[in-house]
Amino acid sequence: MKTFIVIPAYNEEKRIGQVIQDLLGSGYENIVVVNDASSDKTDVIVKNCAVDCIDHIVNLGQGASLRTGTQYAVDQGADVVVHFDSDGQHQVKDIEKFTEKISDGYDVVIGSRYLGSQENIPFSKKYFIHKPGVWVNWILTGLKLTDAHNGFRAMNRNSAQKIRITQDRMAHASEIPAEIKFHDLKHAEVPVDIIYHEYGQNLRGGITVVVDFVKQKLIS
Amino acid sequence: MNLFQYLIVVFIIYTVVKMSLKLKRSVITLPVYFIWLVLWLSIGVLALMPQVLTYVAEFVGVGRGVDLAIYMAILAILYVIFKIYLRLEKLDRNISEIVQKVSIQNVHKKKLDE
Repeated sequence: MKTFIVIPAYNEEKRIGQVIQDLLGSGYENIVVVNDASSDKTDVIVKNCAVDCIDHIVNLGQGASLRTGTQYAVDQGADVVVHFDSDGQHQVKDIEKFTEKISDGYDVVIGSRYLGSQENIPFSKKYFIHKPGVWVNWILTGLKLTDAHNGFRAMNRNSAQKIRITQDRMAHASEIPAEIKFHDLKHAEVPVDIIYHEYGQNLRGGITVVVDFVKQKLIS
Repeated sequence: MNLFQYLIVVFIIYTVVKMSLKLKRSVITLPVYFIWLVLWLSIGVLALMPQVLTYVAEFVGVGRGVDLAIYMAILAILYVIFKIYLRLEKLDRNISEIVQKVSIQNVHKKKLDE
């Protein structure tokens, strides 16, 4: 089973190197980093590692980066595509849980911060971003998950080809559950531990996601 | 005729002449030219004979001719904004697609000796 790790990166020079080394050290050979027109040295660092690197000429957003990376992985014959963050939030040891589920016959596996220990999730994130996010996603997409906007996910080849990410920016995280529902894909959630750094999705970001998603539904 | 009407007539003549020159140089197509011509001529007619607008306004139940003109103008502007918005979204998507195709073609493959 050929597992491909797709890492969208935008100005991640501080952490991307470590993330890649952790993945390589754990035996993951097929890694593609999509450098979304970073203005720092992200591309230099990535190109010095034993991974494939795709450069966007202009900044398109995380959704677009995932789309590019996923497309590339499928072209390269990936059996499983894993979306992994570039900032060290996700833990390499968790990837196995995803690939095992895929081997068990699930089409899409999504990480959830609320199935595991739930340690160190900041209060504001839990009650003002994630919980409302779960409800908004449920209403908009019809898929009830225990976590919203978790960027850690894996899909088999068939799903990677089916799921269309049209949202260039952050709303792709709502689009993926909608696509799962639409294509009636067999999905599962697995507990993941997230390490929080100083940044990430804030309240305004969460609102932008909802607005983008609704806009998309209205005009297409 | 008052000063406002003179100004409008001069402006319309100026615009129509410019448009005709553009048509001659094939900058705009004939159908587009006609749509704008009809639009400008009707504005001219309404400016010279405001009672026509008042009559139409009373007919549709708005009351005052000027009010009707303002409502129509707002609707027209909203419509144009919406069209531009859709066009921008489409442009955005096209740009994304181009950037993605080009980026995948120019992939920087990993070094095999490492």
